[in-house]
Amino acid sequence: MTVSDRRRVSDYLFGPETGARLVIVQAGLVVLMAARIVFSPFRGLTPEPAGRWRPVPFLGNLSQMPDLWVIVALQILGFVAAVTWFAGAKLPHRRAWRQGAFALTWVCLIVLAGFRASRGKILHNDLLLIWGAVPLLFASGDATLADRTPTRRFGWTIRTSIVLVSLMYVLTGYWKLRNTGIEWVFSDWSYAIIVTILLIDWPRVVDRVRAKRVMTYA
Amino acid sequence: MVKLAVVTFLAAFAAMAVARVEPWPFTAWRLFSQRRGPVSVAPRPYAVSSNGNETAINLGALPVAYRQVNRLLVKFGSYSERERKDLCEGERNAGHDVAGIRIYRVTSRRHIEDGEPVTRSTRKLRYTCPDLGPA
Repeated sequence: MTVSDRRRVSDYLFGPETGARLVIVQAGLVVLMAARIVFSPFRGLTPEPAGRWRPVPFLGNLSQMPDLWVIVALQILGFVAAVTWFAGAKLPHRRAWRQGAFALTWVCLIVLAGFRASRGKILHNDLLLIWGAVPLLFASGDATLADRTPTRRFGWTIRTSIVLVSLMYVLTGYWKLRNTGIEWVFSDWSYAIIVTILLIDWPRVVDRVRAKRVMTYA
Repeated sequence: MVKLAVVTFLAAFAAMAVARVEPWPFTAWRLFSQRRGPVSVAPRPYAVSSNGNETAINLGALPVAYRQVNRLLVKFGSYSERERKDLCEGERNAGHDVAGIRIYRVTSRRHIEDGEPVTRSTRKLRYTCPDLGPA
């Protein structure tokens, strides 16, 4: 790897971004985390029928799904933390408030998602948001919308988050190819999916798939 | 220092996924990666009423706490007798007038007949709770 290659890779991960962009990215993630905390059906997880508790590693000390009050308390705490992140812009010690509020929102989400995952099924839609927010846990809390000069100090958390989310999609594709082979990519099923997305002549695609279906559901 | 930590973390994240090391929240990202062929085998719970009628349990229609049991039933054979009993008994509380639960291994075969997809299923009893006698 040449020096310029190394520089290019370094820029992907640690390149400069404006403070304004950092605030917008964090605000978006805080809204998504708060929405997930409040609107996901976590309260329905308890009481859990016998024999279903399969705790994820960090909840291994719990012998069963926690009581309803624990789940509600975490939802309230997570929501209040999210609101505090936004209110933090006008508080003294903004940096500490924002960093703390972002981290607390994230912690509430990962614990609640951990409860849901402790039933034998990995829910990847939870994990995409949880992992995507991890680099932003280390973001500077003093960025403002008025910061329009790109710096590496503001940039590395955004860039790393983008790379991490991209990596999750790359890994998903890797496993698809590894388990199904390249022929799946060119199957009628993939053709139907792609054409559906592009909204091209859907009735004809249905006929084609029905007529030529070779049972390559995936 | 930060750069080294980030690159190391990303490398470890990818390596764990490729090696299928999955201590949650780490995962290999294998969602929807398996191809489903024309023959599929899956465990399926049936509710047995007091008059002996048997009905397939629609897991998607149950309260949240009762859903996704199919993921656990897939590994049913690896559980202890106590775990199997708990899992089966838990399903009984999901509905009214449920005298017992029968868990079947259902094999479904799909094929095309007159241009239409058709599914034919056979099933084999794997577990009953409480003991309801033969199906």
